[in-house]
Amino acid sequence: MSLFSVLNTGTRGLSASQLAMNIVGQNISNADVEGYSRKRLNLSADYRYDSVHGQIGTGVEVINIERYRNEYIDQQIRKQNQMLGMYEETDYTLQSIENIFVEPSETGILHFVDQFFDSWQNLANNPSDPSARTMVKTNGEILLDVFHNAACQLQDLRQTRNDEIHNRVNSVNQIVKAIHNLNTEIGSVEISNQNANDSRDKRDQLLKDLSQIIEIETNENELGQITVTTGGNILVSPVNYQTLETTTTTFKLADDTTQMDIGIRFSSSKRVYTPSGGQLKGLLESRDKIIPHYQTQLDTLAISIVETVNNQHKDGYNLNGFSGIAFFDELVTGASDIKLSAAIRTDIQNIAAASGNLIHPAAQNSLPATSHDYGIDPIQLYTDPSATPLVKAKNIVQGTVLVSNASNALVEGVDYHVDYANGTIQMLHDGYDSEDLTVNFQYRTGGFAGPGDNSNALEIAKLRDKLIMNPDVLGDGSSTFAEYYGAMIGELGLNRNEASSNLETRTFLVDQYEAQQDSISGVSLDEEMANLIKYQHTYQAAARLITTTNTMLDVLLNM
Amino acid sequence: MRITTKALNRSMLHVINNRFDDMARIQERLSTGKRLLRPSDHPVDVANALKLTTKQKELLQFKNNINDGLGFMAVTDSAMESMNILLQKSRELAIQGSSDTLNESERIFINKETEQLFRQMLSLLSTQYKGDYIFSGTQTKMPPFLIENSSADSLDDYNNLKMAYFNTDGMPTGSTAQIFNGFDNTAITNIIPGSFKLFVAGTEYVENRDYRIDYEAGNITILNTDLALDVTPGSANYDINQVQMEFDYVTKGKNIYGEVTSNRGEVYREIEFGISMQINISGDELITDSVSGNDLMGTMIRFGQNLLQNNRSGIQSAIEQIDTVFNNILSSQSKNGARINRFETTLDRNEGQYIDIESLRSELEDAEYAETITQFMLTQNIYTAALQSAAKIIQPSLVNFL
Repeated sequence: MSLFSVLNTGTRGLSASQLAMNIVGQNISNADVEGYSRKRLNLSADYRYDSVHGQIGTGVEVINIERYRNEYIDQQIRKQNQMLGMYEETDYTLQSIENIFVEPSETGILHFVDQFFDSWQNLANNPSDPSARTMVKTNGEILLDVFHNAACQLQDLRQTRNDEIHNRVNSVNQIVKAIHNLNTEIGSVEISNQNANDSRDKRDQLLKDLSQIIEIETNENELGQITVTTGGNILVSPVNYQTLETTTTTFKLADDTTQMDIGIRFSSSKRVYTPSGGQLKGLLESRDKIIPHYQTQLDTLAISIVETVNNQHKDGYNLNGFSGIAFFDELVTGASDIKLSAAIRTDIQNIAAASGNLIHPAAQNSLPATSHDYGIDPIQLYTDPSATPLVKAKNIVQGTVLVSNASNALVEGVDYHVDYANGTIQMLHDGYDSEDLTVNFQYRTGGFAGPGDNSNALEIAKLRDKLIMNPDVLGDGSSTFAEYYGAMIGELGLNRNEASSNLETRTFLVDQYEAQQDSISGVSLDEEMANLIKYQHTYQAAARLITTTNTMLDVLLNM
Repeated sequence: MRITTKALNRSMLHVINNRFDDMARIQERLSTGKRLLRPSDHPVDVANALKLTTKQKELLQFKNNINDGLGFMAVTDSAMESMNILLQKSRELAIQGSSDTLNESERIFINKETEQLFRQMLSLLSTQYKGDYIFSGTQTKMPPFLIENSSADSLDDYNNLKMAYFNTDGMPTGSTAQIFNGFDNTAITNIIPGSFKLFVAGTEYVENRDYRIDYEAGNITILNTDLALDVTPGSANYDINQVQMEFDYVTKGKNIYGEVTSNRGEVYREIEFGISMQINISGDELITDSVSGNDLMGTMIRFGQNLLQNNRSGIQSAIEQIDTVFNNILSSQSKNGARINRFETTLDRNEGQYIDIESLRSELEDAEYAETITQFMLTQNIYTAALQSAAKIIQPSLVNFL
């Protein structure tokens, strides 16, 4: 045992303390870095065997630098993060829909539906007043605007959600590439039995980010490289990686129509990828289920209002005594394209506030063979062909005309043409010239009850209390417009509540797990300070050991 | 458990954020005064609140309908009231006219007054409410009755055959002919007594000496052979300067097709859920007594004619007829009054319901201030406490003491 070996022991102590200080410094400066795990220097006492004294210490030995992290908690965080990501997106979508419908308020759709029907009541109070008529028209236009606006906003929302899918797929690809690079790095470090601590920190952080976008499973090999799979497909293997890409695919919708939209697939295998968790799943769910659900309901409401108001309106008479005018344009596919009919747009006199006519079934009109030959003038129909004097049947009710020969019903527009206003019929070809035909139909009488008649306006106003929506098997409605809309808003509220409470739960769980991870891998400044002082002192002590040995050597050399 | 700086930070931020979130939510309620701001605040209550809002708006509209109907009926009532006053005056004139002591010219004077009363009654029948004739049923753009003039004042009238005519060509005195409208060859009836004048080549002939008029039927009886003329359009006498009759007569109004239609169309107001009430009294219903068949028009015309023709017994029977017409208007008036009552009680109920629904809605929708403010204070306290403790905890570390 020589004094020089003591010097050596001191030097090792100095360098170990220096390294430890270095790590303390690293820990302190990264205390707030997301995903950083605190590092610790593992030291052990070095010794050799001495034949005289047995084991003799030769100073301190650095074993390795270790990071503190619980892999199990990381896995739990990733699992919860998938759900968190999904609920984040669905909650956002539902929140946006809530904002589109702005209920309950004075600017929601229901308010304008009410206002529209109120204006019919108002018209019933002043049936010939141009200002009451203008009010009906204007409130009709406002109602259309509100429907258009909501439909348009829903469509925009759907489009932005669609665009988001691109962005998320790009993020996935970036992360996958980065994980692949880190895999290579970790492999090359850990093959020589060292810890690739900081690369692992980075990789863990990337996995956490990835898990928010899609659901993932991970598996680590003996070199510390991981395999990342999603839905059974490998995204990252120890040696390679695969990215996702977006394509335009044709989707089949619930009503059997198809729609072109963005789909996701694996870029190398070209297999379709359907995420089962994460933001991508939330986005697809929003796009394909949540938003279309409300679009359909809004369309159903709009179309029902258009159809029921039109049916009633066509029964009524305008100020000039004509009936059969539609209030809304009859070519309508949904809330986005409803509009007023051309007749109403051009002249408010065409609003049919009056009614008063009655529908009567006519006695059967017989058309003997040759009396109805193709090419002759239209044949007049009569209310009762056996009565004297004969009364011409006018204002025939659309859809009630039935022309038949001995065995079959003829087809309107193919076999014959009916002039509904004048009550005449004309054959369109000579195929039935030699046959006896019979004609059954209904006709209206009574006609226009005068500009002061408000009964049709009242009937239209009453539509809002009629059970029209949600028809049962017999086609009878079970709820009013307002109830239908209210149920839709109630459902929206419930869905949003569900999504946001799910989101809250997941956020809470993730927070809990992160707090747990923090308590393991987080940097405590107090601890580091204590370590700093500790290592300062060990450094001082080691230095003192060297100076003392130095003095001892001096003494020895000056002897 | 090991507490690290980061864990401490995280949980502190979490708590502070959550409290801040709570405060924002409560603040939103306080500033809007509403408990329900979006469907997810309370889905069931939101759906109910929407339903109540719709009901409330309907009630408000019914209230408007009722008030409008009340306005209509008030106008109807005052028109009928005025007619009754006019009828009473006519009755007094009939009593006066049936007196023994009057001579022919005095009765003609009385007719002058009667004629004015009659014209006033006719204009009352054309009373309008917001531009609509109230006694025309649903034909609100045509007056129920209107006064037309027979004469051709201008060449234009004449060319359009507006001039009335008759044909007594070659008839002996005492024979009777119908007076026609030259435009559509329809018989003229209901001539207003006292308005008739007849000129031949500028010379006025005298009623009851040269001719006699049946005002209700529109007949002329010639008493002077000078008047045995053909005045039909196309004949030499149908000339603005030859034979001209000047008189006013009452016809029924015409609809947009130019047809005379019934004024018995019914006008309704919806005053409650599913309940519509008629608000109008038709002109025919008002002036015709359904039991005796007496109507205001015939009664007043016959009365005037009897005055002009100095027929005392005719004048006496007019008193009775005026009474039946008077009673008929009274019964219409009480019908109208009953409707007004019904509308007013419905209005009361409507207002009551409105308030009930308002309070239900407010219970659902409105934030309760006492509760919300207490909540706010509580959250605020927690928030302040969280901030203060955070400030205290974050500051010190071992660094401060080295």
